Amino acid sequence: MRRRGRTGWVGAAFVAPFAVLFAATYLVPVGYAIQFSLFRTRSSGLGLAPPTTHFAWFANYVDALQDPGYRDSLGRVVLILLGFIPALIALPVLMALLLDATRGRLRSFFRTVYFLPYGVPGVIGSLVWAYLYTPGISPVVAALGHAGVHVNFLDSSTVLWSIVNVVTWEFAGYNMLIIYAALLAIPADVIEAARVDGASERQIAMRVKLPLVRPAIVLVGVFTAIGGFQIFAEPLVLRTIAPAITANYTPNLSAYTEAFANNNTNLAAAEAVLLAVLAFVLSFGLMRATRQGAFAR
Amino acid sequence: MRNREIGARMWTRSRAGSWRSLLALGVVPLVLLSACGSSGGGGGGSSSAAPAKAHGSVVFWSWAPGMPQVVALFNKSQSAIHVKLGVPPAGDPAYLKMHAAVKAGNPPDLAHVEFTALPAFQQQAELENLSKLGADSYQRQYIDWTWKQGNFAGQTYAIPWASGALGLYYRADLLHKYGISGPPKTWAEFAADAKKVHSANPNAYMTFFSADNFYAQWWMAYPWQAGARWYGTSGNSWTIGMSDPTTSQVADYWQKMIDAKQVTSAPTYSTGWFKAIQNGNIVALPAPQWMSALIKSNAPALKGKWRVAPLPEWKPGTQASANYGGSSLAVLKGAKNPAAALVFAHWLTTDPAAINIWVSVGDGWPAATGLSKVSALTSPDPYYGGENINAVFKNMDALVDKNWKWTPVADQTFSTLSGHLNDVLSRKTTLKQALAATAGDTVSQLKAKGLSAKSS
Amino acid sequence: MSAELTATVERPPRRVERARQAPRQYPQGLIRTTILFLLAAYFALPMYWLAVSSTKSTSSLFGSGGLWFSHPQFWQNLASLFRYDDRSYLQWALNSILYAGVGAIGATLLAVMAGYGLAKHDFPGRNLVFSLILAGVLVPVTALALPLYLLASKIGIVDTYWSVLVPGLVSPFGVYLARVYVEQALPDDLLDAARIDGAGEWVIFVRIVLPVVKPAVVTIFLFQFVSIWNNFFLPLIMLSSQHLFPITLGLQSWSTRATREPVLYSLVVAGSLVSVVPLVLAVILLQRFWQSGLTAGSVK
Repeated sequence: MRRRGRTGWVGAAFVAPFAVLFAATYLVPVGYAIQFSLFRTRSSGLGLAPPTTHFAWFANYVDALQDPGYRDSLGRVVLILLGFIPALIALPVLMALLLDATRGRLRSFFRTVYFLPYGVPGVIGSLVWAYLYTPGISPVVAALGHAGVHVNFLDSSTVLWSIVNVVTWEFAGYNMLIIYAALLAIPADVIEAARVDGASERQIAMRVKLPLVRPAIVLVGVFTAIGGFQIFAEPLVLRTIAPAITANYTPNLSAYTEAFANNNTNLAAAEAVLLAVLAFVLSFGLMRATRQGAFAR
Repeated sequence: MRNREIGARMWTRSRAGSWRSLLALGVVPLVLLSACGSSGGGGGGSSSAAPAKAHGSVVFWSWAPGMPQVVALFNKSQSAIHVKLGVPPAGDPAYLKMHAAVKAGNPPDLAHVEFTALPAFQQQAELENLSKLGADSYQRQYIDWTWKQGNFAGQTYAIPWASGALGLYYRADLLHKYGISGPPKTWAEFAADAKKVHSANPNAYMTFFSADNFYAQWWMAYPWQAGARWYGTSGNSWTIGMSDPTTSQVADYWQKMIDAKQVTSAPTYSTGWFKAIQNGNIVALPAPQWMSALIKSNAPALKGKWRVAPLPEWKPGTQASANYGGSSLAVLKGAKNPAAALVFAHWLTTDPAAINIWVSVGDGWPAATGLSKVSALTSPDPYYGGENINAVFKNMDALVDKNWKWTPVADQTFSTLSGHLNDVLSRKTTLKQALAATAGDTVSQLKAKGLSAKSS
Repeated sequence: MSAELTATVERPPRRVERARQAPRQYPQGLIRTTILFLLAAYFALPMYWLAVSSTKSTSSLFGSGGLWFSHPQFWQNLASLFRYDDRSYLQWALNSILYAGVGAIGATLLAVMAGYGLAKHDFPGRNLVFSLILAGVLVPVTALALPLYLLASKIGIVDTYWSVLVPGLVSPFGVYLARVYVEQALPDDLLDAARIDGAGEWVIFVRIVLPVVKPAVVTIFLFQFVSIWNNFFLPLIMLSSQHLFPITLGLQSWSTRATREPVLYSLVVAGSLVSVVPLVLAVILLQRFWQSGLTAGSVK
């Protein structure tokens, strides 16, 4: 159905360099990880004799899913994603709408300030927030204390939201920019027509602008969902000040711990594969469910 | 002295927990080269057969502070062996890289492995049997219990390097300020002091109880000191138990202080923890000799205010200590030059000059015996009020129970316990329940590796 | 899979920021501006803290309030930062520039080539390839790090420049963006005319395609640059030699060593500030490219 057959293999030649590297860095590693995840290395008795490796079908996947610690980490992803809905979708939408309704220098000032944290690596953002969370050092905790609000950002009931906050700080501006860019693409006459019809600014925002930028919001939602599965640097860094962040706090951290601390590399491979599949299924499902974006037919 | 990067990598806090390692010193008058000069054939001399033939290069991986200087010293002191230092990330990630290197057939010759991690390497069959190289002839140059850390089924797989018997660090000025006459001699006095300190100053705490991985390992030393034995073997099976009466007594003791909020919970080695030390909110620390360098470098303003006393006793007159942190040197399977690696390991752990470097950067209590030539261990320290705190640690080291052993899942146990300790701090469970749960988890973790394990 | 996965574009992105005027009278103006300022305070606070704290010694860092200066010694911190550990920091900065710069240039070129190939040419397996690339967009980068490590370990390139550089050359999202952009911005007529003139395919790509898709090129480059610069998991597990570290890993390793060498607390903060400055400048100066690229990515 597409254009000229006569270019034939030329297209393939243009795609080939990327395709080769894509295979080498996506397909082959995933394939190798899948293969790796089907084996397991076992000792016996006290562990004094050398261990043996054997094919184990899906035993590592069963082990991972039966491990309460890993299940908890998946549960935390659900909580994180729930936290992301207001923080990384609703808030950026609001920010973009407010920005779109602002004029002059202030507009570019706010846009710049909101977007800046995107340029800060997660590790560094987390190091900075770690100082802002630590009682005795943080000016924020001190100020809240003076105001009579005594909050511990790092205990087991709050630390998840402290992580969500760091991620929000990093990415809310980025998400806002996607939506804001879409708002700018709305033709001026559409807005003007609504205004002529007597719609209030709020009505225009809700009834005209929002529906028109829905694809952008879906895109933001998909990237945010993928991001929810990715969280790694933030808990790794905050762990040094918050023991409530356990060694398998998020699925990524869990795979890292199994591989690097517990030497259960096969199990870690299974966890990485599970993570990739879950993230893919969720984001793909999201795209299909909304029937929009790149994946719509 | 230059503080090389390698150094403090061992203190990496973000890791799942392991590097309190301290390594270091070993003094022993017999200098390295005495080993090189010994005869072959396993006969006669005081040192082993292997060293005589040793020459060539040795790749050595360690993240410990002071290693560049030690390696340079060794390379300068003789010409037969040339050591090349590699610096892996500290602790657990280093182990993964070591495991991976063994599997890839390209391991370093000599690797820095903590006592707690040795069984995991042994379980993977990734260590060279050093007994076959004549290492057993070194045994009497090391403190017995540290030597046994690298001994499996009667064979030697690692040369002990350094350890960390606990003493009691305390702020002499603050005890005085809070009306306490001297360091507590028993844990009962310690608890009474904890109460006094906290009621005198609501921001101040006698000591801390946290829930991070470091602390999980640290806290294990308390039941250890009291005489508990968590890990044992019965026939061909591991036996794991953390609910014995001794452990429960220790757990109850700490539970009371936690419930009364008489201990602070700043995570070990976090900025908040050091801040609490700097501003006097932590008054005492039951801690090993290697902690002295940490306190000194992080709280320079407190010069002259800290002192060290023996670890409190459970019953008067039954002095005992326990260990927190310890490292060894192991030759990895597939090493190209095991004999030379062994010579260097022996030198590093026993040469007084090498040990002096170690002592200066605070890497731990030497596993070697005969420390009289190590000046850093015998001289008074102005920071600690001009006292020689090492005299205390020397006594403490002799009082560590000899038979404590670690399982192949020791690091997992630390993070499991850490997770349960979080629940203790958030009042979701008690310390005793946390320990029982940790024991159960440990059995599962051993079984997951195919090993036999049961609760004891 | 048989479903035809394509991205279609209803209209080109429009930059109407200046053209459209909000009404002059706006009742909620005050509330709106207040909210915008509060949000700005939230996003700016950590940056402000970082800027102030980078001027402090370790003892001031712990001993003074975080929101104002105390015995500023920024230049001294800066000098120690670049000297410490045999100039490790400089090495890490160069490494980051190498990983992110080379990676982003390579990734951009490969992505635009592939996007062009997919958009304007038909060849067997084209839909399959595009489906796989789209799937690649949806797989978290960090989930791939461990598989990449296992593979790299197998072929023995762990702890080399290649182990971090090569994965950075691949940007499925870049291919997607490039394809969308080429489809909407590059008329077939232009290509046909060039072919009639007898231009070779590579010449067409360099002389015609690249100039037309320049905005997308800049956007893809920026995305990939930031994504590599900020990546932490991959170098963390791939690298053990300090001289190969990028800046993020280096600063984190210093941070974990600060216990032992307390001066590092202040150097990590100063080093964080220095490392953030170039990217923040890029974000500020190149904003319109971000925006236009993002628009292209979200069109339905």
